[in-house]
Amino acid sequence: MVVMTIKRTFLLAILMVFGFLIFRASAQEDVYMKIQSGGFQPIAISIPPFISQQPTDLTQKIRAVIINDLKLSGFFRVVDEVPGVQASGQTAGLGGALPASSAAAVRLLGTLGINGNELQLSADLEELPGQQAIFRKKFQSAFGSFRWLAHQAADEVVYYLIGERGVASSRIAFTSGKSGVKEISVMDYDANDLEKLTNMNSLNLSPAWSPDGKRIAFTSYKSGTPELVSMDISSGAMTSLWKQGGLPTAPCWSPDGKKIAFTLTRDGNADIYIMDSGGGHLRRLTSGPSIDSSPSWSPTGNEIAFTSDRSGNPQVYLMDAEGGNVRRLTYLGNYNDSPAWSPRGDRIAYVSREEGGFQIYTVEVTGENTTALTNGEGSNENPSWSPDGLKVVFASNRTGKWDIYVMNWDGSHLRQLTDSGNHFSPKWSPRLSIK
Amino acid sequence: MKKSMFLTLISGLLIALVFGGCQKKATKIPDATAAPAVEQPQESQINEGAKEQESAETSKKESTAPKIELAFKTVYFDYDKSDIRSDARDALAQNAKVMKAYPNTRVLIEGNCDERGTIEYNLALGEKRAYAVKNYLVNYGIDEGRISTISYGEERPVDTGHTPEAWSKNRRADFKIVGR
Repeated sequence: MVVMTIKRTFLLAILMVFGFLIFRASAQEDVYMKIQSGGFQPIAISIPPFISQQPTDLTQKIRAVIINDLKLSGFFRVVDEVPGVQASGQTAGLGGALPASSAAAVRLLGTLGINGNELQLSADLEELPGQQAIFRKKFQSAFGSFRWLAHQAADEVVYYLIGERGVASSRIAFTSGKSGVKEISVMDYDANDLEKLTNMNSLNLSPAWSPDGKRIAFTSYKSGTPELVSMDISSGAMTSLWKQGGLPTAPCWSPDGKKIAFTLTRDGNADIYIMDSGGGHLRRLTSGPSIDSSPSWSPTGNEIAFTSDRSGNPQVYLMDAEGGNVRRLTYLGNYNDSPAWSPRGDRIAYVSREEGGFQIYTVEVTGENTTALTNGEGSNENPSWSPDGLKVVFASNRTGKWDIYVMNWDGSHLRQLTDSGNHFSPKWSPRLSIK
Repeated sequence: MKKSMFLTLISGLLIALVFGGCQKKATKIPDATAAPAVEQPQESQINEGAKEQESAETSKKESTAPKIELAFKTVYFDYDKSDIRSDARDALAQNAKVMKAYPNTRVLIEGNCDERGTIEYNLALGEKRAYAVKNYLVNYGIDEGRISTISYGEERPVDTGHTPEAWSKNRRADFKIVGR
């Protein structure tokens, strides 16, 4: 079974090298379906210690980050090459039981060197036991960005063996702070390399990534009255998108990056609007006295999920991206909000209020197969999908403090990302080519 | 030259408002069908109007401490609601009285929510609450130009507890003086 899987994925890798992209697309869907149904067998990969002219600890750190990334991807078991020996811990497991044999099916070899002022990792991925090369690539980064170097190498391994890039080269934006003051920060998807984006001593809420990963839009109270702003992450420069009155919140970029949908509460009435992502050209999509809020674009850009209390309590609805064809999606529970459309397009995550707090659910866009992802103590809020649609990041106060957690699409493999408290509203970035 | 004429005109208007406004309101409120205060007896409103006029004139002429203190009452709401509760009408009547007694005062109404909703929904709900309060005061005869609104959603609780009592304190609209 595992041998067949490896042969299939390896064949897939070869096909991709020759540019048969159409095969890649269909095989990728196949992998996704196998993962969803729990029939996926993780690939056994061996990663021997890297060769290096660099300090050993840096080399070891880079290898450790790659191993961690591959485990967290859920696609791999990291093993020693000798059958029956597990190298270091369990995988994050996307499904299926461990196969009987732990013999490595592929091997990643690394050599760390210096090229100019940069670290350079030469990575060879090969099939075992024949040692046929799958790829031979060089990854470079500044010395301080060695984690990013490792993430990129790990994502390339996922790409060649699964048919779709991994999500290790992604980050999570969130808010943190206490009553009345919240600032925006970002961290790597594995909770490392935290960077504070704002220091405005004011409320800053609802961060949203642009599809190119270069900007974050959010609601800022920095001038005393709320406005919608867009920040260039690398420079910190801010552009005001909406400060013409009312309360603009919950921005969400269209998949093509050209528009932003958001909630604008004017004269006490919250409706969904869209505007150009550089500001201007405001168009109203919903009307009526109910609260319409929290828009989330479908990955095609053709539809928008949102929350409305038009039925008497908040429920999730879908509409066309121009505001027509509104239909109700959720019926279970009497307070459903925070819709997040999966990048795969097939499901929408949302929160549903229950005794003691919110729980996270997914429902198919047809309204079928409502599935609970959380059911524990406390409140679980603001779900946001990983760019591959296989994981969900969210905020929870299950320990008594608000922290950020991540789990698989089905609620399995829960991990806590922060533990210092007062962290809210996580948003997973798209895949990032640069940081 | 033009400017001073304009100022004279404005001052004249203001004086007319201060001395004439309250009397008009006293007769106007009972037949203002949009005013949510219609359940209150007419007499007490007329009396209030008279008192306001008195205090406004007192403060204007003698600039002694006014009888009506420049202080506003907080308005509380039910869970996930922005309707003005019957028990909030007294607080709003009092606040309207204060605004009439201090006609130059401008206020910011801050809408707030308890922690139980989502962050985004609560921002919208807080704004809806603040606007409901503003609307009530406008129907009471307060110039809407003197009232602005903001929502802090669930971001500024007065009680950080997780009890029904704490929640009921946090579902509120506060009045903040922003100009006088």
